[in-house]
Amino acid sequence: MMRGGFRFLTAYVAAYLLFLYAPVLLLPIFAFNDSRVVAFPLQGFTLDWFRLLLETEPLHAATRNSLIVASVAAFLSTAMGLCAARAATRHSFAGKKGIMGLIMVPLVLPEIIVGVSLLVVILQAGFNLNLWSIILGHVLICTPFCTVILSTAFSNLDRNLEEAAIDLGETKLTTFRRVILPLVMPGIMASILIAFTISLDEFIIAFFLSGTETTLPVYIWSQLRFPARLPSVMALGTVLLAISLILLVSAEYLRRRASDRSAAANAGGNF
Amino acid sequence: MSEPIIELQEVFKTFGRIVALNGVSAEIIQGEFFSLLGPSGCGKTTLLRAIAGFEDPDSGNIRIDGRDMTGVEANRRPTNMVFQNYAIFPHMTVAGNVGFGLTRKKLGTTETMRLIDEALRMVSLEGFQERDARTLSGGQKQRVALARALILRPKVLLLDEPLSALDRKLREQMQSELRNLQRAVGITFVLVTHDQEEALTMSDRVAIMFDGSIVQISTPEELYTAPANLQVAEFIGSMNFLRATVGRATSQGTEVEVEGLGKLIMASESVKPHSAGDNVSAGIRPEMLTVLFDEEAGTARVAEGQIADRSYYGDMTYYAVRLEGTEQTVTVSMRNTANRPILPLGSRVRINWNADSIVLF
Repeated sequence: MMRGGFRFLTAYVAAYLLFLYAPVLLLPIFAFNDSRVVAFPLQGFTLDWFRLLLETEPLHAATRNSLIVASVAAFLSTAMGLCAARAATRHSFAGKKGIMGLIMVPLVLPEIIVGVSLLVVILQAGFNLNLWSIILGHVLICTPFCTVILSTAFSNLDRNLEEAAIDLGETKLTTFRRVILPLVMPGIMASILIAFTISLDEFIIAFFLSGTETTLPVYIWSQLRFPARLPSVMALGTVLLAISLILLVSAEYLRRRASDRSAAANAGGNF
Repeated sequence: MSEPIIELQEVFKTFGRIVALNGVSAEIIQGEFFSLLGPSGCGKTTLLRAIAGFEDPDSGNIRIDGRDMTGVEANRRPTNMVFQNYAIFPHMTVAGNVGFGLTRKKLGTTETMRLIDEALRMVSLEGFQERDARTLSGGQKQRVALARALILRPKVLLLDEPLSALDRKLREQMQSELRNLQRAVGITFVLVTHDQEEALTMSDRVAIMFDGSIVQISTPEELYTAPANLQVAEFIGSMNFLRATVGRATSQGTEVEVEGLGKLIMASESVKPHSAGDNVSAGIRPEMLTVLFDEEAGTARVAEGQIADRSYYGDMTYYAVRLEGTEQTVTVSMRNTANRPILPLGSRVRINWNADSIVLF
């Protein structure tokens, strides 16, 4: 009975993982496949699709846009998350729970609703759709993630460290610069990387809010209408997958280092 | 020498409905080692933090070195603090921590380095300059925290339970080091502790706090031998309490009838403010009672009893003696010497006491 149950669970996990990752693994396989048709059997190894990426001018523009949007959105949402996290961990004020809850709502709000409503607001207010409108949308959905990451970093911080710095003559501002900032820096880096990653591959909001200039995911979607370009899209996907993986792994590494750091700071009284 | 460095006048502080400081007044004298002693939640840490500038009193006045501290931020006060968990900056070296407060003074590298070396020598951490603060042991962190605060030459050094996180051996060592350090630098130390032994061994004067008020300020000896009230007597050391009745005053003193010990004559001074007929509590420390061994027989003041319980501590033995003709049990502590046997349970003993050490409440 137990063995049977165990075997079933193993099979379940295997199927689950296959379902989750097999499609992703197909990307790099077909990106190197020497055929316009995306199908098995494989036809041989080629780097043509990657070469084609280098030659496609609109792709470069979209990539540049995406990098701009992701960088600005990551910076802004981290800055906002920093303020929210600081307020949430250090101060108590009326309606704190409600306000923190409202900051988190975009986490669960369907992106299509965010996209459509922002589109209506921006057009009604008489603004044009450009990269800034996309940045606005991305800041909205990235800020909750940044707030959560930074709240962890701040709550691991020993409050006595701040008081010690003030006691030694520093002002609130110089205490932040000399003590708090260095200690939460890994958290800030993690927050920037996560927000950057989210913004980089976000499609729905970017699709609704882009004017003449589009981001990479929107560009990729537009290319899917042409079957002949599918292999080069797969090559592009492979590149994005690699970048995302690198960013996520570094963010996680930094986050863990941040909690190690504050844990070491808290372990004051051991022998 | 007896100039007050800190003057507290009717300091009140509440947190919501909790009264942390209920009108605290005290003077702390320039150059003394002063302790705030009390059970947890008595307000001693709040008082220390109010002196440091981390809590604003609701009313009342704190003066340091003659200056009113109302509205003066913590970073502008002539005090520095050693935190309970030391609050060592983990992203800096030992030198970075110790020299942290000097940065504002813009002294130049050579002078800064010299002061850091000097401060580290003072706490016996020579050569630790470049050590990563995270790699230090608890005792070393404590020394770094001390050096970091003392390097700024504060008028007053505030210490918030600095020894509570250390193990017993290290704590005893740090107690005498702290005492010596204080004598060497001559800076006023204000120590918060819940450990009576710590307060008694280290301090010039001790303020004992209960429920947001200072109940008694006195030297350790006075605190121990003449506690201001029952609460202090129960908190400091251990004490036997016996029912007693005040009798009439005579030319030799006042008669007091103590249950189990009989009629005593006490100095009229020490019976005040009680008067004839009052039912009081007579307190006597275990070491002021003596179990009489055969060769020490023949004293007038003697009570008979039976050993009901016994705790052996190596150097000392504590006997619980049930006094003859009463339900009253007293604890008697005896130093173990070569010619004193450890008495078995149930032994009949005679005990003797020192009437001068009895305190009435």
